[in-house]
Amino acid sequence: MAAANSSGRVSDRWQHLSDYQCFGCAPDNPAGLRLEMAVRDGVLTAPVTFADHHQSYPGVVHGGVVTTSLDEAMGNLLVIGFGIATFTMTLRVRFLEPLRTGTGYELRARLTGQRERLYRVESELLDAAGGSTALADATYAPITPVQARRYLGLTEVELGGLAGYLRQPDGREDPPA
Amino acid sequence: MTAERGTDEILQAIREIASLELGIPEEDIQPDVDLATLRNVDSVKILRVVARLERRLGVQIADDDIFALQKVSDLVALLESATAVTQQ
Repeated sequence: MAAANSSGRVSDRWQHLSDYQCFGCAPDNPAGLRLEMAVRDGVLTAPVTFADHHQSYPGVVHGGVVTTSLDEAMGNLLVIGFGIATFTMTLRVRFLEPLRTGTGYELRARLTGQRERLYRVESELLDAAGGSTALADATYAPITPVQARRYLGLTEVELGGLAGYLRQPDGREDPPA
Repeated sequence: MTAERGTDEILQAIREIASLELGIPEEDIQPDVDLATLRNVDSVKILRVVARLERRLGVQIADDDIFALQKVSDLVALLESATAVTQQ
C-alpha cells in the first residue's frame, strides 16, 4: 500500500471545520505546534521547533508534547498520504534523550503495516545531526461517518466536507446512530 | 485450584463491564452472540470494554486481536489465553 505524495497544507483539509484549532497542525493556534507536514515517497516529514510554553523542566520539552508531535506525524501520514481520518488506538513512545526548546528537529513518520482495519505507523524525532531522540509506534483505526457524528460532534456540513476521509462501514460494525 | 482465570469468571467480567459500557442487560451478552449485533456497540466501545477488562484481569491484548474479534466467545478465549500467559 503506497502513500500518495502530498500537495498543499494539511490544514487546508480541515478549513471547513468550525473552530479548527488542532494543537498539532492548525496555523492559528498560538499555543500549538503549527506543524507543516509533507509526504514524499511514503514518508511524512515536518520540521519542528518547540517553544518555551511546551516545556516541563526549564528548557526541556515536555514529554507529553513530544508524544503529541509524534502522534500528529503518524495520524497525518494517514490523512495526507492515504486520505484516511483515524483515531489513535494505542501509542508507545521511547524517549531516548531530553529534547530542548528553541532547537530545530525533524519529525518523520512511515506506515509499517495494515491488518484488520488497523494501520500500524512509526515515527521519530531527529536532531540536526540526524540522531534519533524519540521513537514512537502506534495503531490507528479509521473513523466511520457514524463515529464522526457520535464522538466528534460534527455537523452534517462538516461531515460532508470530511466524507472523503471517513471509512465507510464494512457491514460488521457501526449500526445506525 | 488453577492459577488461570476460569471461563465462567472471564465471561462474568465481560458481562459486567460490557453491560455498563453499552447500557444493556448482562443476559444479552451470551458466548455465541456476535459482538457487532450488541445494542449500542461500535469499535470504540469494544475497545473501552477490552481496556477495562485488561485492567481488571491484569493482561494486555494486542490491537490486532481486538479488531479480529467476532463473537463474545472469541473474547473469552482471548482473555483466557492472556491470563494463562500472565500466570506463567
